[in-house]
Amino acid sequence: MKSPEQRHPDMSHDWRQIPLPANIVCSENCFLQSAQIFGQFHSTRSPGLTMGTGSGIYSQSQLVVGERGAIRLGDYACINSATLQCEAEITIGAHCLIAWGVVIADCVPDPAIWSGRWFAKPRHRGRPTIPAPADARPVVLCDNVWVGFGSVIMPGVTIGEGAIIGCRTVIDTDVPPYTLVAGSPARMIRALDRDESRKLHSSDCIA
Amino acid sequence: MMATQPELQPLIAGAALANDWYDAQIPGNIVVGDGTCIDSSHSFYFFQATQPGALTTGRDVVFWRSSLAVGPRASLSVGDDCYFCNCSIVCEEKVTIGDRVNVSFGVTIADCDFHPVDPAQRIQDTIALAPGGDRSQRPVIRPRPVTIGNDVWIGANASILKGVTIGDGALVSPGSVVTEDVPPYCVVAGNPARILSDVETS
Repeated sequence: MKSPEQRHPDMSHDWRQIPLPANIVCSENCFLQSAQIFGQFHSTRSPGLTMGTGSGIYSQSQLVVGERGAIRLGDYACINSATLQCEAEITIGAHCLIAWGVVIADCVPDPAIWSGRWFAKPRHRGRPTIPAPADARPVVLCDNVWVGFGSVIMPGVTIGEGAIIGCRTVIDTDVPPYTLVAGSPARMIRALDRDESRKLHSSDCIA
Repeated sequence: MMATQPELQPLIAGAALANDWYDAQIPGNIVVGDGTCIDSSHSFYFFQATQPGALTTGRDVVFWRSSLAVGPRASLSVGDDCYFCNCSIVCEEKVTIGDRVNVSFGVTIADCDFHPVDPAQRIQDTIALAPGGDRSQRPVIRPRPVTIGNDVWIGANASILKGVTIGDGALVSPGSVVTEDVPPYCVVAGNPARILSDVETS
């Protein structure tokens, strides 16, 4: 059994020197940009966050997790400045790419609870139990899903393996595997070839 | 003297701005016209180009809280009297912007896709991107240059995607996702953006 210190990645780069939540499990070679990611992480589950090998939560991502919420990240999943709002379960498969500005929510917050008044409380101290909305429905992103910037994934959605969500798309129904979905309202643009040859090159990398 | 809010200051290649909250210098490989201003060197946080003239701007351009992400071999060219307000320009090959272009807040202009569309290549990409990964193993992604004409107005939160040419005088409505060329003097809106009308008739 590893000690919590060994489980957590090195946070010496972090501008926000506060402890990480105890109930997160990080595999080898994980990256967390900042403890600020957990500013609204209230999960009491064990673990409340699981990170696979080589996965990373970058930049200004936020994990807004209620007491009964839990997030699982697969191997090499990459979350870049997205917001995950979780009162039940959000599962993100291996090799998923989540771009900036994406929101993945498994619940529609009760406006009576998530009101401006609640947010106005300094540092959210003495936060009582925030009841999970009755309609929280788990969200599943299967392996190798790529969600383009600014998209929103609504509660109860399952996105099939290898699918691509174009930028600024709102997804409120399931997406079949290996399809490209984009536009508003979202529509299927085309199917992706899952057997396409791996034309890999070692030159030219993009930012 | 108290530190003040970031103010617009002349953009000078290789210089450091006064009272800049972000401690960095303006890159030296940019060509700037007279009267062009910027609020902070943080705009160049993702500026990776090293060749001369990677960014060229005309006269009296304003960059305010914008991100100029110019890739290693890319070039960004901006005309005169443009206004960039809290927008992101992601340039991996070439982005050309004309004169008197007004780019509103939240706008993203990108000439590439960032990741491969092919599912198998995307797996390779995520492994190369992982912490400690070998980024030289990333699959090649072909950028397609973006060209924006003169007198274009790009509304808030619009996205201009790769390969798009926007004609002179066009109006891109707020929130549009532009995936195809926009003819001159047209109004486009929606996701994907469609032509609504001519500018004259709207």
